Amino acid sequence: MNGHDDSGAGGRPDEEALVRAVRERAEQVEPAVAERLGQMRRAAVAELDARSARRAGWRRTPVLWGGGLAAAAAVALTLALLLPVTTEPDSDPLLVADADELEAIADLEVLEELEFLAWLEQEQLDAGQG
Amino acid sequence: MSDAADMNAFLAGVEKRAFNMARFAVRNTEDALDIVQDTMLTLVRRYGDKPRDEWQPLFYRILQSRIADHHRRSTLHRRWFGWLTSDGTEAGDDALADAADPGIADPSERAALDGTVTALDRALEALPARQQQSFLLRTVEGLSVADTAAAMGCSEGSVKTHHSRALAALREQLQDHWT
Repeated sequence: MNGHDDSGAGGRPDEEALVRAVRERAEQVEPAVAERLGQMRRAAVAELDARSARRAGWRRTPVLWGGGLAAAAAVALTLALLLPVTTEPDSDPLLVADADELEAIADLEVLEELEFLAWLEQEQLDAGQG
Repeated sequence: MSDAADMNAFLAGVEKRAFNMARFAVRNTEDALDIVQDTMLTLVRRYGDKPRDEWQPLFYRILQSRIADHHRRSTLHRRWFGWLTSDGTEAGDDALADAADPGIADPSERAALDGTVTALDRALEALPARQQQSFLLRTVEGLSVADTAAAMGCSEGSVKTHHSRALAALREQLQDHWT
């Protein structure tokens, strides 16, 4: 900081002594002044610290949001895998059974009708013979 | 090391020299402390994100600006209220140049500063402001001519001239101490 030689010192013995004395003097302050300088420095650095903390908070927020979304997606996937698979309405076994039953009922009615017709024909024949 | 720790180390390294630089310039301990405090806060707020190697020239640019502001206010104050003791002269527009008035410093005030007023202090305080600041920036802080010129808002040629005149004046005033 103040250690390099690009200081404009002329290099003469008296100038070197002068420069050395000025540098030493510039580091000397009263204890009370040193204390106040320290307080000022700490206050200034605290501002920088607070700002860094705020920025770190903003940087962490998207990570939290991303983590939340990932967790929600995992839950949804788990539920999708664990819950029973739903079937299409067309392939509902209940509906299929109803159709078969209806078909069977229809067949029975036809048979009964055929039997009725057969009985009616037989009655007419019997009446003609009688 | 975190930004805050870096900044703390940097400010701890320059605060005493900065205070003395300001105090030599304004000749008042409280005003010098105010200037250093303002400089620290401005550096942190505006330039805390800059790379560390840029802090030193920025810090001293701010410090010089605050010292110039102080002299400007003092000049303005003298313009408005100076008629009470006016000698009829008018201050110019260059606050630092106008501040170069070694006769202003009250010896008793100087003696009260730290109780350690030395021939060196008196000689430094007696320098015209621009000579004083260019000498301190170059000698104490080791700033380059270019950085000193940037900090003081003047040309590199002016820095060299101010510095060499300051050195000559100090050698003359302090020759009894270092010859």
